[in-house]
Parts: sequence; structure tokens; C-alpha cells
Amino acid sequence: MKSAKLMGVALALWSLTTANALGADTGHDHHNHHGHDHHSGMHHTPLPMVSQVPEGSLHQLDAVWQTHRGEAVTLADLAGRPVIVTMLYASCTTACPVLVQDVKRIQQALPEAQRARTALLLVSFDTEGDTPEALNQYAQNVRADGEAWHFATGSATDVRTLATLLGVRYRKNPEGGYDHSNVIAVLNTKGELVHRHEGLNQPVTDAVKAVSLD
Amino acid sequence: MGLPTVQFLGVVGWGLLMAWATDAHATEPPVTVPEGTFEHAVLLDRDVQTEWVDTFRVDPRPVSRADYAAFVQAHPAWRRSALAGLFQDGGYLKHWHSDLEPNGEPDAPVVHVSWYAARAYCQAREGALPTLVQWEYLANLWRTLNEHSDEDYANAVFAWYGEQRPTALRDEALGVSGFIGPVNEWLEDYQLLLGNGDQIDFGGGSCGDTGRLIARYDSAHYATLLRYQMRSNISPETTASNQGFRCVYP
Repeated sequence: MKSAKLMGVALALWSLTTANALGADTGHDHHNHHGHDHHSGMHHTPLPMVSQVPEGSLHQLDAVWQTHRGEAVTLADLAGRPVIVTMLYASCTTACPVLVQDVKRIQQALPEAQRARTALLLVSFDTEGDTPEALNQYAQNVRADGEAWHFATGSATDVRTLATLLGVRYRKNPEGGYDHSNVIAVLNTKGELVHRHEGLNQPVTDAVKAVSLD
Repeated sequence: MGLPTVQFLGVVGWGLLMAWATDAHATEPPVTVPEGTFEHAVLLDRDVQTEWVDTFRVDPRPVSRADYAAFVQAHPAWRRSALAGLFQDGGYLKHWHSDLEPNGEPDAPVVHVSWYAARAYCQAREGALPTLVQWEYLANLWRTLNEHSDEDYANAVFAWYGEQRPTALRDEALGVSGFIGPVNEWLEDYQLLLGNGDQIDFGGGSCGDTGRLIARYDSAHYATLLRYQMRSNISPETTASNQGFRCVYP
């Protein structure tokens, strides 16, 4: 599995200035503002759902995930709990088990009170092969089946949305697997992205700190 | 093309939604793109040089402001005053006169829409954003059927990103237009992940890395690489004045 042989993974966060350059260079108006500033002179009337959560909260993503225990879960269902999120797939044999171990290392490094309330969400790229049953088998195989663990599958559209929100890039490869960047993210109790790191076998300190801040 | 007349009659709820969905299609029916082989100009994966593309249907041109106004009318969550910062950068539909009134010509492509918004629009029409392969395959057909030389194509692309106004290229093939034109288009999987054998995303996709991955070192391939690269660099919440989209359908 090529997808499993992940090396030299580089942070792929892009400068927003490129978009400005695009707007400016083509003779159109270029009043592009980045960041979450409000529209000037405009009244915001957020939807009731939006008003309960911060502007950048991933709890606004309405995707329904099917877990390896056969439960249906949305990110909003996990409100009040910090969530450690990563994306992988079950038939990936090298990188993905390392991602699971990385999540496990973060979990084990948490103070006990934090550990008890932190949810672990591992969403699969493989919307066809990774049924809840396949993910359940996978959870057993990697010995990660405690209450905190949620191996999950969803629609291809929702997987793409979540990956984009987390800055995870992926593409199906000719062998039927997925090439992907390795990202571990932490959402706080309100669903805001408070930590994100890329690469395998990274130090857990920052992720632990991010969970404990909340 | 304008808003379907029925929308001005005060029809509400499902009636409006259905009228929008059916009339929008009736006004601008999607065009069927024939199946065929796509030759990658940019080798995202070292081992994949060509791939088969199944037939699909596509909007004949980028989604218009009138079309988008009908969408936000039917889907209040995507109105300017409602859309959260998670899904846009603060400039969403910023030049519109109000939540429901576009600025400029109703037929002009809608701009200042984030990737999230573009996808929501296409989903509401039971479509999706084109994949990178679908769009680039179509762009190749467009070049071939319009008989654009590699040099003319390259010059048009470089002009698009440069100081000059874009070179006017004949822009019609299969009844589809809008390429290398007024807007850059959002794609479902526009962010590049580069593979080189065992290494994935080995260089983060900077220009120096992609440069060694183009299939041929001529100006047309460089032009395509530039488009891939610039497109990949745009973050999904961006709402730019030259960023629009069109949808595809099964």
C-alpha cells in the first residue's frame, strides 16, 4: 500500500495572499479581506443553531457519522467534550496504525479528568470499504475500542468537507487506497479548532496542552 | 437568462424550491460531456499519466448571480447575513445590494463565494462541484475543439494571471464556455496532494516541487501547472472577486 508509506509529509497550509494576488492581477476589484471580520454596515442575524456556537465552530458541520459501534454521531453531539480528530482508513497498513497510536499516546498523556471526557474521532477516507462493521473489526485489531473511541464513516461529500476544514489533503490512488496527509487536530468543547499538527510520531505535548486548556 | 418568472409571483416554500430547481435547469440545461481518456499535464502521481473519464453533465457556463440569488432565496442558511465565518472569510457576496439582490448583471458569473458555498449550491441542484480531473478533461476538450494552439492557450493563461487583460480566445465547445475567462472555478478536490512513488506530499506542493512533475516542458504545460498551483493555493473560505464555479451532474 503506497498510501501507507508516508514520508516527508509537509505542512500544506497556504498563504492567503495568493487569493489576493489573483483578485488584484486580473483587473477586477480586489477588496478581498481575509480573516473572520464582519461585513461592515451589515447586520448579522445568525440562525438559531449558529448563535449557540462560536463563529468558527466545527459543530456547525451537520454531517452525520456512523461509528464502529453502529451509532450515528454529529460533531455537535460531542459538544462539551474536547475531541481529538484524525482521518485514516482501515486497509492502510503502515501510516494509519501509527496515527491511531499517536491518538492513543495523546490520550494516555492527558490528566485523568481530561482523559475521561475527551472523545477520539477517527474518520475514514474509504467511504465504500469502511462500513461500521469493517471499522469495528479495525478498532479491535488496533486495540482501540474504549468508550472514547469513535471510528467513523460518512458520505464522500462530508468526508471531503471535514478534511478541508481540518486541512487534510487526500486523493484516491490507483491501488484503491488513499494518499493523504497525516493530521491530528484538537477541537475544544465548543468545536473550535485549537490545535493541529501534521506528520507521524509527533510530540504529544502541544495536543495535550490544547485539550487541557478547555 | 434571468430569474425564472415564477419566482417573482410570490410563490413560497416548496413551490418556490421546486420552481427554482426545475426552471433553472430548463433555462440552462446541463451539457453532456462524452467519455474519454484524460492525459494529465501535471503528474500528481508519478505513476498516473492517463485515466479514463466517464461521461458526465456540466453547466454550460459558470453559475450566474441570478441563479445564485434563487439558491439563497430557497436556502436561508446560505444568505450573506446568515453564513458563519467557518464557511467564508468575511467577504461573502459582499457587493450584493442585500441578502437576495445581486449586484451587476444578473447573467454575470457569481463571485465572492467560498468553496463551501459553491458546494452547497451544487448539492442543492443534486449535482456537485467538478472534480479536478473532470474539469481539466473538459478544458482539454475545449482547447482541442476550439483548435487553440498550445501557444495561444499558454498566452491566455499567462495573461489571466498577469497584468494584461486576458487574451480573447474562442470560448465555445460542446455548448460549454467560460474557460480561462471571467472567473477561476472552484473544484471539489482542487487542493493538490503530490505523490512521488513512496513519498506523499513530499514538497507541500510548492512551485519548485511541481515543476519537476509536468509531463512535458513546454509553455502549455507550464501554463497548466500555473493554473493548478494558483488554484491549490486558495484556501476554501476565500471569497474572491474572480472566483466562481459551475456544477456537474451524474
